[in-house]
Amino acid sequence: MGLSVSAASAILFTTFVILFGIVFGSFDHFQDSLINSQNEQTERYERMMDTSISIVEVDDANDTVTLVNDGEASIDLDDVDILVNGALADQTLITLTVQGHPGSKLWAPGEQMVIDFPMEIDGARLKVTVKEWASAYHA
Amino acid sequence: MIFFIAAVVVAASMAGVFISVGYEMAQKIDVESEAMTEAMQSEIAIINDPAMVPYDGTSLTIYVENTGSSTLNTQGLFVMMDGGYTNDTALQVLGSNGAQWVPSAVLQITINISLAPGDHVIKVITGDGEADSLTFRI
Repeated sequence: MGLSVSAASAILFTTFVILFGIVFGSFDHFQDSLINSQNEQTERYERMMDTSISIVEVDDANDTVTLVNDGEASIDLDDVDILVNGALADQTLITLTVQGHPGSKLWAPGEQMVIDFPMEIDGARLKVTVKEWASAYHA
Repeated sequence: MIFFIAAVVVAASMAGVFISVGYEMAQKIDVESEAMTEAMQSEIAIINDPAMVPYDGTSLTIYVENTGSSTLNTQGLFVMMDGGYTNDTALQVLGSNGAQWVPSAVLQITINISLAPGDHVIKVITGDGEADSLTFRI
């Protein structure tokens, strides 16, 4: 009788150890994923709060617009979208240049960036947006 | 001896049931974790100019940017115009990434719809449950 109880107890004990391992492993993975995603989301919201742009000058004669990054975060030029009269402009035809750093894709805080349009912008309504986190308008 | 065999058989059966329940539980946690992670990494934004949305009298063009950090699926996308479901839409991911709606890529939604002049509200909901809305003027 004693041996039977011991054997059954040993089997159940081993089962609970294995069970704990399986469930704990999953919970650990779940918690890691959640923390990573939360950190990523927080980082995104911080960047959103730190992003700000303003139009400094619109040169109708040369079809250029100068903007300043007056936020606290650097902006990747690939994240900049331009709408001319409501339509999304073809980024391959427009030239974006960070003043003093031609060829750079990094638009750092305090720096100015010039958008060179291939079309006439005189009288056009313009919207420059960075992922909709920050936008600047000219009408 | 009979007691011993019976005890071992009963314990082993219980062990099998416990482990299969535990394994199922672990799988459900993994699935839930993946869904939660994906939801937290996904985000969209309608980037149209609310004062000048492209509309030619029959078709309206909406630009939706993937502002999150994961690639989104364009399948199962819902468009609600002024509270009503609209299914006459054409989708195109702009840029060089082909059909992949990767982070920072813009999805162009062309909606065949007749709109009266005035204010309208559009809401775009992805298959993953991410949503954004825009109030604009025609």
